[in-house]
Amino acid sequence: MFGYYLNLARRSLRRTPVLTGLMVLAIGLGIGASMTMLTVLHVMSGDPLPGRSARLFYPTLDPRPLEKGHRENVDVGNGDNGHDAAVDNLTYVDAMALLHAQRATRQSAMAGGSVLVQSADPHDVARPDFMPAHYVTADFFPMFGVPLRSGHAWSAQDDEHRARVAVITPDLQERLFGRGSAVNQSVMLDGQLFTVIGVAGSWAPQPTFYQDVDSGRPFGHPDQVFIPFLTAVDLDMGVNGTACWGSGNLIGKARRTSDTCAWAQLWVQLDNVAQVSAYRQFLQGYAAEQHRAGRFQRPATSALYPMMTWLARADWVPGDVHMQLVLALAFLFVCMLNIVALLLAKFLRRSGEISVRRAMGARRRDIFVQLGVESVLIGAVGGVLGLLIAQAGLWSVRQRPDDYARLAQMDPAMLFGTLALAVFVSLLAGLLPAWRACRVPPALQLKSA
Amino acid sequence: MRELPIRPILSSLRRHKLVALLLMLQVAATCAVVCNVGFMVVDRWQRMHMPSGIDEGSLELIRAQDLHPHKDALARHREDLARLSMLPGVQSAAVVDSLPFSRDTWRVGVRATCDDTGGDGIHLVLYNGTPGELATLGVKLVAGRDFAVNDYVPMHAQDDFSGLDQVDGLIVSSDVAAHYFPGQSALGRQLCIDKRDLPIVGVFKHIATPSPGKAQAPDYTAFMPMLPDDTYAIYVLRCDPEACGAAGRKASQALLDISRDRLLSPPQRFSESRAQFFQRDRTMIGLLIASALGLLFVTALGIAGLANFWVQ
Repeated sequence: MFGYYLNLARRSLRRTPVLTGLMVLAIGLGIGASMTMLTVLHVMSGDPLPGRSARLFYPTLDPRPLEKGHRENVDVGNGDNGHDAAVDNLTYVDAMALLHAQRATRQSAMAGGSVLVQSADPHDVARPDFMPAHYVTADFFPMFGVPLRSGHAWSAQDDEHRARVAVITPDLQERLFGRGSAVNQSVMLDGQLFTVIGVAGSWAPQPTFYQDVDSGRPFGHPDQVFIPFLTAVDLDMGVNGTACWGSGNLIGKARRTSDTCAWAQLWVQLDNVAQVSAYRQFLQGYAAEQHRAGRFQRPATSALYPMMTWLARADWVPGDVHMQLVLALAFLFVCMLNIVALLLAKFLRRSGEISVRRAMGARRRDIFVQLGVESVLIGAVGGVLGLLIAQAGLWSVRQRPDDYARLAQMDPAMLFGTLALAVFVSLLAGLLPAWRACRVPPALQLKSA
Repeated sequence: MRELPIRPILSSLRRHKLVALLLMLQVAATCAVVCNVGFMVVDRWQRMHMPSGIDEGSLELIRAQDLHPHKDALARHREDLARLSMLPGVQSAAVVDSLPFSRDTWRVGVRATCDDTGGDGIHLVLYNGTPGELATLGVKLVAGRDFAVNDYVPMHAQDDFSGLDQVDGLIVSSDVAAHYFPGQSALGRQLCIDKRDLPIVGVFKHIATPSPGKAQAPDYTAFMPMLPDDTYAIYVLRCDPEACGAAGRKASQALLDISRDRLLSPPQRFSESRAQFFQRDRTMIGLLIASALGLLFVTALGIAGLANFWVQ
């Protein structure tokens, strides 16, 4: 039966090529525009670490003093996003305490910065440059599943010994050492000699979920160098965002290790519900203890965010992208109205044909299904056109200079989603016209014909 | 002129109520979207063309990042500026810490007085630079005077910007003056910044902040006589209009001749820096106009298609 309807639909559409073309074009444009924007939103708010994200958590504390409007000195800011960098990040003291408590399966303290990368060979012609870097503790690599192409990462002992070691990306390896091996070679970072012990494989989660939520750059700019956290603290290497409070005029390493400057992040891996609730208890206990000791002036507060919740809270998708999506959906809505009107006119024009079919025994339901199949056929062809338009749209997004532009690629799920949306929209658009057409009284039509 | 046959049109519309209703809906939705898009385009356009408050023509910028903290950044800047101002085509030069649309913002809290009656304050965006900054940028004072050479103190960027504790006097925008001293002269009056009362020595009309939001927001900005000594600074050259490009290239070379221990951005006109800052707004305007045209196109096609279909 379905094949028969499909054949009928094909014939009917061929009889009115202009009108059919218009409907296909309308669906194509509407689907193309909205899928372009949906894809951008999808890649920006997707899971940066599929398979691992459910076990990763981000703890926060509230070490702020009682008086409002503490002196805040944030080096780089994303502007007013309603977050308080003093709560979103940990002080060195708290990060170390939680790290050394070892209450999670894995835990890593970290911070992001920008380091001057130079070749250790004074005759090298490559210009020195500042590159995004992350200062992390040993568990970072196994916890986040960072693949290593060659060499190895460092151990917890290296952390404690403030080892001068680094793991670099393949890009940096090529820049510094060309085609040669990087492992056991030297590199100058912020003027200090470091030994490269490993080269990471291609690993660049987007957004860069693990960085400072208030001052980092979530899209593009992947980290090029990883070095031990405590080594960076010892050398007072630059950190992206530091929020201090209290009256002290802290500089240098004193500022880094102070308990009134928040700038570090801690990520923990918790494997099951029991572990999560145990860690929550431990965290709240730590906050209460600090409150009793007088260090935390406000009532003890702690929070443990699952990774995706933390990312939703970070709200890294720019306002422009949301607006573009609303615009694209409005566009799709108008296209749909357009198709409803065109289908209605088309179906009602065929009242004669429909009446003949009714008189020959077709039930209303049969007519309804027949016209529905015709709408779906239009939707399927429109969907293919929409797919092409969306690919062109995504290509033009990728040409933009924004940080996230490079990400705009369609994955198989979105590809399938595009076709499904097109068929769904055209089916929805065909409902009203088909319903009207199958209610045409056959006798009246036949007499007048 | 022949009269339009209204009556048959109306009766025809009455016969096709649903189709007419749908078309009306579509046109209404299109109008709603296009009108909103129009407002958004105007909004973005105004933002893109907000006045910077400085004389934007023939201003050349070079951003410099020292590779290592320099022991005497001030002496280095003096040497750099002496060399730059001798270059042909350069009228004047200054080292500044920030400029309109450069995104490097230093904000401090301001209150009317430092005692308890001062109340809640506003945030003031600070611009700092070497002597002659105002003249090089082309910022005109509406009252008072420019800083004298001995007003200037080092910024002490490596010491938590403690220059702010030594500076004595500031030049504020007319919006700041009007906020604290409405209808009066602000000259010689004091504002409390970081627990110290500082006298206002001059007032200028307007300068945009390093990353301004809305075009119409009040402009709370001030110049302070603090000499930039951080590892990052911007060299600003006021040049002869026809010689700007060459002057920028020569300046870049001169700076590298003095020291190679720094990364320099390619010389850039102020207008290019401005265009970069508003890049997003420009793409957004393009996108908005394209989608409005697309909508009108689809609606027009719909009406034309329907009319064509009926006439057959």
